[in-house]
Amino acid sequence: MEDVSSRGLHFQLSDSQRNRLRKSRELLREAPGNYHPSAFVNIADPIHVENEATVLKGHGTQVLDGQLLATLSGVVERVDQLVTVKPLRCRYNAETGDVVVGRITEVGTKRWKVDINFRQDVHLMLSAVNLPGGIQRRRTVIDELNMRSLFEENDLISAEVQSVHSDGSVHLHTRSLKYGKLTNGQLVKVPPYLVKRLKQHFHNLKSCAVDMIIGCNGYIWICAAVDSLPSNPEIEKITGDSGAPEMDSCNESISLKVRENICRLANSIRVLSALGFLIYPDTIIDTFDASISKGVAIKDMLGAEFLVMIAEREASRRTKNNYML
Amino acid sequence: MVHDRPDGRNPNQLRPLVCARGLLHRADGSARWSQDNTIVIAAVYGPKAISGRRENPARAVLEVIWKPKMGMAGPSEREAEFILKRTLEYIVLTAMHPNTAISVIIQVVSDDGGALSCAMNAACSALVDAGIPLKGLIAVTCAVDKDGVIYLDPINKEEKEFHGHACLVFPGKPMSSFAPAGLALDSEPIERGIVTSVTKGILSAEDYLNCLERSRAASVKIAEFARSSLEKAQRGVELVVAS
Repeated sequence: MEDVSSRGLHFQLSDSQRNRLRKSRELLREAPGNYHPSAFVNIADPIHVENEATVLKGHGTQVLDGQLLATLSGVVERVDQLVTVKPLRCRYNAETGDVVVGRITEVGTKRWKVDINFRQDVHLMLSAVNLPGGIQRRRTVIDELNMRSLFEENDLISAEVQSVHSDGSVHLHTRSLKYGKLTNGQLVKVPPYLVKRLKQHFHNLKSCAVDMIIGCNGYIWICAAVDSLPSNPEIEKITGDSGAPEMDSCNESISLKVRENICRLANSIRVLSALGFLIYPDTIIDTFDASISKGVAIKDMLGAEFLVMIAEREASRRTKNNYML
Repeated sequence: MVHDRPDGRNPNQLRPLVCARGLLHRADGSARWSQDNTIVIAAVYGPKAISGRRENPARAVLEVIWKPKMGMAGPSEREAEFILKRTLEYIVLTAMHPNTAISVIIQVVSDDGGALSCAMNAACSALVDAGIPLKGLIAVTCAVDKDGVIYLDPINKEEKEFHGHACLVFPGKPMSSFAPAGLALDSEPIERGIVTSVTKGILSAEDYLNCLERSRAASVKIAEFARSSLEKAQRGVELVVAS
């Protein structure tokens, strides 16, 4: 567990709840799998390495007079010969192949500018999207003029990072059927360092009829599962549309049960991010099930009692199973 | 002849320091630095996108905005912004993030003397909080001089009465002790160098060097305080709780 502050969420804790939370945090700190206190470094602290010449200096380090110093304050990660310093809080760092969820901010000549919580606005080139009609062809002037029919300002899209250039600019692409415009759901923003890079970022929760896209940039999209919607998937075969099934911006009406599931999942993610726990499907579903089994109403999930309960659950799980790790 | 200070401190005593980090939710990094009644909040946004003529393809552009407690920003605020910009450019590794801008915004909450040094300490803590790579930390102190006696960390009353005033920025010492030779630049060890020096009024050369020595000793204490507060922030409980 990383110690992070939950920005933006305030909790009114009573004294007993505060004590319980403090106890859980101490248990979690002692539990195995946590960072050893010596791994924390501050700026200009020396990092101990056996042989400075053979070590690969990664992000957050600099060499001064034969000594390896940290330029960021955070934890030292050593992977074989690579030494990097991972800061405890920072903006999202784009890597090639990351799945991200972003919002279109601008429509420009032959490209869209997308906001993905990165240092700069990233570009989605016209040549990097699937055109309606599905065939591969050169983009003509007509395509440029019709860019707005594909994506407009303030649309949400899912895409993959195609390349990161040396000057820091990032290009995205949506060259697959699973990427494209997002509708019928809710966006949850969490700090990007709480999202691990996994094999799968698209999750389908069949029991709740909900789809989840966990973007590496900290934007998480929860929406009604495509097959639970009343729309007819045959239609796209007839028209030959090979983009995302709903390319128009009107949202379908979703049943109350599915909407409740979406809200409950979104609140579980918010609670996890407030406690600073890593966010991936297992923890989200676990919190979701805990809230259902304890009969917590959706609006109470952002209250202090549920927060303390989740912290205690995690603390007891880690200390109980430590021999199994 | 040593005057009595209005608040009863002796000439070498600093005011109590308090540093809080991460108070602003929307900023990438923030810090509030207080020295008794002088309180300054610094917010850092960045690295973020910058447009047009101001962007530099080789390094990040650092911009500082100083907001006084009352009234509009005038020439003295512009001067403070310039000094801060040059000082922070020394410690920020701007070449790591080309084509971006790092904005530092300083808000003076209350000013009882030494606002510039307080602001520089706050800005440094906020940069660390934002996760921006830095070469090292800085520690800033100021001092006034009257009749050859140096008084550290002056309050407003003292600043108005005394003849010479100096604000000095030193590099924060690294935690481990380097070899006795240390880092050297023209045979002067880097830990003992000065980053910035701002002086006002009349100071004789002897008094200025005296000032330097005392401030350097005080800056070591400030650097230690900043480091320990950073370590506490790294490991402490950090839920925002409203009590």
